[in-house]
Amino acid sequence: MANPFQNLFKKIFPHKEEHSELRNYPIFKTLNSRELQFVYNCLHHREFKADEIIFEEGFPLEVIYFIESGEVELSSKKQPELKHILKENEVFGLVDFFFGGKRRMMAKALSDTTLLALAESDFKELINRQPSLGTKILWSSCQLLAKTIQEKNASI
Amino acid sequence: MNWNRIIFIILLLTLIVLGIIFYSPIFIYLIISIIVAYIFDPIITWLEYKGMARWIAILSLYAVIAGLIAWLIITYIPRLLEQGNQLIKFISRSDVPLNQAIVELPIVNSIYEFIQKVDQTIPQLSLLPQFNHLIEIGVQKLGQLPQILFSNFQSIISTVALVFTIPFFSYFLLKDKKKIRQALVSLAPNKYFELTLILFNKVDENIGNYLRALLLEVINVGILSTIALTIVGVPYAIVIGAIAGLLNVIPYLGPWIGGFAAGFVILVSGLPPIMIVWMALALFIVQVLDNYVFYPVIVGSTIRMHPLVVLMTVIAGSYFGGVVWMLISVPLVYMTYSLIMALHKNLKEFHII
Repeated sequence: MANPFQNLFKKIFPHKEEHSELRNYPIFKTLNSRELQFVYNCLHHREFKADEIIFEEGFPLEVIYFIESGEVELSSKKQPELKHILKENEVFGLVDFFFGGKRRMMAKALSDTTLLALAESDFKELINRQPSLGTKILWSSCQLLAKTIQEKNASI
Repeated sequence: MNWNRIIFIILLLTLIVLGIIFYSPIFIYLIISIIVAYIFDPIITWLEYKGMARWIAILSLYAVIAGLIAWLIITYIPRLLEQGNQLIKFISRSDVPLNQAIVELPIVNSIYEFIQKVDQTIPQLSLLPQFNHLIEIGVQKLGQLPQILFSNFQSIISTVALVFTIPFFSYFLLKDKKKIRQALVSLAPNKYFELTLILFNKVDENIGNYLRALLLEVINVGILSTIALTIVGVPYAIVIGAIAGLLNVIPYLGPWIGGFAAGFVILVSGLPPIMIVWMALALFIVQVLDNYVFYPVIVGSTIRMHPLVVLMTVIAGSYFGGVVWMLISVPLVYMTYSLIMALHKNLKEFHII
């Protein structure tokens, strides 16, 4: 039972969590609401039509994309057998971001897609300015990458 | 391309042109506000990451600055008023004509004597009549001063109003910096999104760094020169120091002009000419300190242009629009140059050209 004072307090100061939808992405899962606000301020909304190319292979990398809705296909001309289809709440560009700033795959929207873009410079600034936020994001990124590697190993 | 689209684009362009005409009177204030916002942004962002809401941080900073200005006014206004009163009393003495009174001012008097001396040594120059003419014009303008004040009452009021609006503009520019950026970047089509972001960051970084470095440099050189000139014993050290700091904005040429100004003051105030050597030495030490100790620490490495290019740019700027353009032409050219370099590199990398 919540005590009546707490109820009263909640009535006087209704606390609505903003941007909590960002927690659906694994790398922002552990952030608190204030940190989410910082992240949200850096994000750019982009809308892509079906079959529109998001970026080409070999382009410089400036942003990491988070899929808000829709489907994205990653493919490579060099290795045609490699094809990934990403869905809602997944992130792409993260591996290339840590790998050296060049797109190693081409991304294409399969259906009408909304994406959130986080620029590399903003990403680095967030990490540098707020070490606690940065640790959380980097820790979650490592977990995500570790999970991917684990899955790959299992499939082999 | 169908006709509807063409008509739409024409209407849009018309609207944009009309908008520019409508808002053109406030452009200069907007630019000043942007400069102010750029200068304060690092402090505000730092405070924001320390846990202060942006608007509280901005208002606190404004309060501190207002306090500083108030303190300066309280300290210096009485002295200024005193000097002003003396001047007014001096001018309104009825027994001496105004022309004579101004010539009796110590500084004008010494300039007068100096010019007389120059005329004696080089008789062909005949500077004295010209100087007299200049004084006459000055006296005339001084007499018209109350009239000018009244006839331009409206423009003075609007200037004061707009000076007070700059903090408001800057407030919103500072508070909604990220939103403004998001809105501007969202205008870019998908194909050019990343390119736009890269260029935007580049320009933003360049302008911000340049303006902040400039401000710190002006203050730094101004204070150093004032100290050096005071040690040497040059009169009006604060004024000359401030001028030297401001002129330091012009690379390579600025310090020389500042030095000449100081030399002129020494000559006019009748100090021994050997003082010029000491003054030059003092300013030289200031420049060495600034270039090899303070500049690398404060600015790091920003503008590195060949002296010839700088010289050409400054001279072209002075032909184009006088002193103001002399000051801003070098950074403008540098920024254009670095923007085009970044544009070229990225256009190639994104396979657009």
